Amino acid sequence: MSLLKETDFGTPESKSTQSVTLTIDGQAITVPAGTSVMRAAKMLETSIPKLCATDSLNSFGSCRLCVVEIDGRKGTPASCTTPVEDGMVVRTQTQKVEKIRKNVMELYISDHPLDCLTCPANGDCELQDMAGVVGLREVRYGYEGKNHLSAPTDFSNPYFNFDESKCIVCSRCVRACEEVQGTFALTIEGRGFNSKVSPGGTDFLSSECVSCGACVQACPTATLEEKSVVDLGMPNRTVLTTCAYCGVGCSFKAELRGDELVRMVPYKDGGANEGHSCVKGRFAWGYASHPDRVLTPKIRKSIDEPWQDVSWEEAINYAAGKLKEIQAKFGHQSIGGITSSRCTNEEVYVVQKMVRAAFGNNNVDTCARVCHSPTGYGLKQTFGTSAGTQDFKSVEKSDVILLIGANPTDAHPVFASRMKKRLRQGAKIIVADPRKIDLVKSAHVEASHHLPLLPGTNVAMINALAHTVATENLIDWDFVNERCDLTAFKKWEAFIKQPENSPEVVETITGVPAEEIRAAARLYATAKNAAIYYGLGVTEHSQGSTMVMGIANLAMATGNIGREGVGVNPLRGQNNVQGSCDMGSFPHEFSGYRHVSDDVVREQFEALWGATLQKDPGMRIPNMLDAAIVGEFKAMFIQGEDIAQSDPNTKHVKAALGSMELVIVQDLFINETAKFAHVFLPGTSFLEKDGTFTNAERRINRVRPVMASKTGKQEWEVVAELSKALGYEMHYQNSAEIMDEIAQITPTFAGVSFAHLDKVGSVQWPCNEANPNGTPIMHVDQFVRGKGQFMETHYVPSEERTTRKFPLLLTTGRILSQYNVGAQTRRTKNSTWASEDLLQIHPSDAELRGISDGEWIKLASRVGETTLRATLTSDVPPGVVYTTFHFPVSGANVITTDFSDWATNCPEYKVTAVEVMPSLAGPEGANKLAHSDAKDKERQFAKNV
Amino acid sequence: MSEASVKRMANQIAANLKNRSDASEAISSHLKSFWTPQMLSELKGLTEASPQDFDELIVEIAASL
Repeated sequence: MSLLKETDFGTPESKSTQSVTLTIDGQAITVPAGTSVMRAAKMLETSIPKLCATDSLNSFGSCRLCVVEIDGRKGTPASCTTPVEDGMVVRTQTQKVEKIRKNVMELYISDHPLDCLTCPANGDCELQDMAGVVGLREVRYGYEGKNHLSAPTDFSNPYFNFDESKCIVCSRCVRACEEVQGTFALTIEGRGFNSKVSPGGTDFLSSECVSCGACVQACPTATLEEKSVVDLGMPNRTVLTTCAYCGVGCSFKAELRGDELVRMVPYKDGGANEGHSCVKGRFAWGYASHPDRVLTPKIRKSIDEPWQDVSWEEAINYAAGKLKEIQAKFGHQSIGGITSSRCTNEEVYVVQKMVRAAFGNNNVDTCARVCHSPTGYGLKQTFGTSAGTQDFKSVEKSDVILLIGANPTDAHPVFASRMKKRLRQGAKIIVADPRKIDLVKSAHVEASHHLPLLPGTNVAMINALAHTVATENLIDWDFVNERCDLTAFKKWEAFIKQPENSPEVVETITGVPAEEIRAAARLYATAKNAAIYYGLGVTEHSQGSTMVMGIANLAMATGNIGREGVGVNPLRGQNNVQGSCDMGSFPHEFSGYRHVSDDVVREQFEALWGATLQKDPGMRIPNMLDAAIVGEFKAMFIQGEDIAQSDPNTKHVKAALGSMELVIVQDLFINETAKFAHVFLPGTSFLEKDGTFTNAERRINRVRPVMASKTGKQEWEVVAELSKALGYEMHYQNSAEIMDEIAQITPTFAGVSFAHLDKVGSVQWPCNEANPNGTPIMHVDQFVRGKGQFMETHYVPSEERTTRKFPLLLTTGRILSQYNVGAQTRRTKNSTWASEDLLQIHPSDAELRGISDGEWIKLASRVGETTLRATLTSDVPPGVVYTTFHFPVSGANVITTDFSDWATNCPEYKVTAVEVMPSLAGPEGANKLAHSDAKDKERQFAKNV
Repeated sequence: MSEASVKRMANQIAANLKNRSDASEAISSHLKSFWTPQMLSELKGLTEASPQDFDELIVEIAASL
C-alpha cells in the first residue's frame, strides 16, 4: 500500500455514553459528551489547523492555531480544549480566525529555519503543512530578530536526532513522554522566549529517555527525527506487520522507500499497542540485514569440521538421509524437534506436523517449555484453557493491580506504559518481587505494597494472601457459589485456612512481614476490580505450576474473573509464546490443547493429515537432552532457538548436543547451538515472514513480508521440503493455506484466515461462529471447563538451597534494551545502552566480599562458574543477586541448575545458590580488570571462605 | 533417560501432590498424561529394583502402571 497515514482527530476519543448534538460549519453532528470541538469537526472531515494537538495526547491549547468562533461566545476559543455542548454552533473558517492563524504561523516561521527543501522532514512536516493551510505568504517580522536558529543538534541517541533549532516548543514530545510512555524524561526548560525542550538538562543518551520513540512520533516538525529518515529519505509506502520481540505483539507500520525499510512506526489501530512502541520494536530491527546473517544452507559431517556451503536440495537430502539412518539404527523415538516462539504460527504448526507425521513420534516441544509451560498447565487445570483471561486494554478498568514476578517496564514496556497510565489515574499496585523494580517506585508510581519475598517462596506467599482472604471473610461468595466447583472449593478452603498458610508463619519463609502480606491481601480482595499480572518470576520455579494455580485460586476466591479490569494475565516472554503453545508444540498435545491420547481428536488429525499418529506423549526438551546423554536420543531439529545459551545448565545442554549424531538448526545466525550442528538451514527474519503471531492477550496478528526472503524461501517451505524428503508430503501453496488448515482442525481458531485478519485487523481466540472476531475477555459467564476448579497448592521448598559454600541466591531476568539471548538486539545499536551482562549485588554483600562497583567478579554455583562485572545496588535485597542472560561471553546459564517445575519441567532459572568473589580478570576477550588489587582481593576472599 | 532424572522427577511429583486428598489419582494421572511409555517403563523398573529411593506413593503407583 502507499504510505499509510492514520487519521489524526486532534484530541482523544471521549468514552462518555451521553450524546451531544452541535452544528459545525452548518453541518449537524452528534458525538459523545466530552468530545472536543476539534475532534467533532474532524469526524465531519473538517480539518481545523493545529500544531500542538494530536489525538494520542490530551488537549493542551498552546499553539493557538486551532481557534474557532462559537455563536454566543466571546473571543476565539481553541477548538482542542473546548468541549462540545448541545446546540453549539461552531464556525471553523471566518476572516477573524484566519487572520489569527496566519499571524500565529508568521510568528512560528520567523524563528524557524527556512531549509524545507533540504530538511529530512520535507513532505512530512506539520509546520510546513500548516503554513500552506493558513495561506502564509509573508513573514512580516523578518528573520533578523532574536531566534533559536543556531541552536545545536543533539546526535547522542543512536536512533534519532534532536535538532533544537527546528523546535516550536509545542510540548507534544514532553507530553508524549509523560502521557503515553510515562517516563517523564523530557521537560520544558526556561521561561518565555528561552523555553526549550530538554531531556532533563543533559543530552538524550545520558538522560532518563528510554528511546520508545513516542516523542519522535509526536513531533510535528523535523526536531525529533529518525536518523534512518535523515540518511535514507522519506518513506513512500507502508506494510502493516507485527513486532517479533516480546509477547505484547505490537502492530507496526513498516515504512519503506521502494524496497528499502526506512523506519518502523507503531500503528495506531493496532489492538495491542494502540500506537505506542518500545526501543526494541521501534528501532532495533537492523539485525535482519546484519552481515552475520547466514543465507546459504550448510552441512558438515562432524562438528569439528568446517561448514560446507551447499544447495537447499543437498542440505535437505543430507538431513533427511541422516534422520532416516538414525531412526533405522536407533528406533523411531531417537529423534525429535523443537519449535520456536519467535516463529509464526504457521511455521510452528508445520514443524510439529513434521515431527508427528514424518518422524512418526510425538517428540516435539517448544521453547515455551523454559518460560510459560506452567501457565499452560496451571490455567488449564483451574480455568480449562491455557491462556490469559483479558485483553491488554482491560487494565484501564483495574483498581488494584497485583504484579508478581514480572518487570514489565523492561520486559513488556508497551504494556507497562498502559499500566503506568492507569496507576497515574489512581489505581493501586502491589508488587511481589525480590527486587525493587521500577514499578515499586519511579516517576509518578509508588507501590502500595512491595512484598520482597525470597526467591523460591512464591507459593508460600500466594497461599498467605489467600489465607487472609479466606479467614478475614473476604471471599466473594456469590462468585464462588455460582461459578466454581464447590466440592473442590471446600477442600481448598479447608487447606488454605490451615495455620501453616497464615502470613505469620509464611513471614518466616518469605521474609515479608505478616502485616504487609495481610494489608496487600485486603487491598486486592476489596477492590472493585483487581487484576493479577505475572511473568517468569512465577513460572520459572520448581513450583511454577503450583504458583499459577495459586494465582487462579486467589482470583476466583475474590471473584476477579470474567469482566474488564480483573483476571489472571501471564505476560509472555516472546512474541509468539502463546501461538507456539496453541499450535500443538507440546509433546502431549495437538493444536488447541487436546491430548494426543484422545482417540476422537487423534483420528481427526490422522484423517486430515493422512498419517498414523502416536497416542502416547513424547519427550520434553529436558527429556530429550537427558536421553541424548545416555545415548538413547540421537537427532534434533531446532527451529529458531539457541538452547546452548538459553537453557539451564549449559554444560549439560552442550554435552547432550555434542552426543547427538545429527543436530539441524534453522536460524538466522550461527548461534551457540549451531556450533553443535551438522546441518544449518538459514531462517527468515520477521521482516521476511508471511504468517501470524499470537500475543499474550490471545490476539492473532498478521505478520506480513516487508521484504523478500533473503534466503529465497519461507521457513515453512524448508520444513515441508524436509518432511517430503522423509516421505511425508505437505501440500501447501502458501502460508495462508496453513492457517486455513489450523482453523479447520482447531476449534478455538474457527474461521480464522488471512483474509479475515486482513479485513478486521486482528482477532482474539477463541473464535467461533457467534464470535468470529474472537473473545477479548474470557470466562465471562462460565469457565471454559464449566466450573472453576480450586486446587490445593501445598508449598514445597525448592531443593536448591543456599549453603555455606553458596550462600547467595541468584535470580535472572532481562533488561529493556536487550532481548533474551541477544541474538537480535546484540546486532543493533541497542548495545549502546547495554553491551554486557552485569551482576546486581547489594552493597552489604559486596562489601563483605571486597567487591567494588564495576569490578570483575566470579559467579559460581554447584554446576559452573562465569565472570562478569558487578554493579552495586540496593534494588536487590541482601542475600540475593541478579543478572541477565543476553550475552554469550558471560553465559549466565552456565550457572543455573537443571532443577525444574515438578509438573512441566520448566527450569528453575529464578533460584540458584551461588557465591560471588572478586576476579582477576573478565571472561576471555573482555577488558582487563581496572582494579590492580583484584588479585589480592581474590586471594584474601579465598582465605575467608 | 538417566536414572537420576527419572528418580528426581518422580519424587518431585510425589512431593508436590502427596498432600492432596486425591494424591494417588493425581500422581497416576499426571504420569500417564505427561510421561512417555519408555519413561514409565524405566520408572517401573527402578521402583522395583530400588524402592527405597522413591516416595512410597510412587512405588505403589508404578506397580500398577
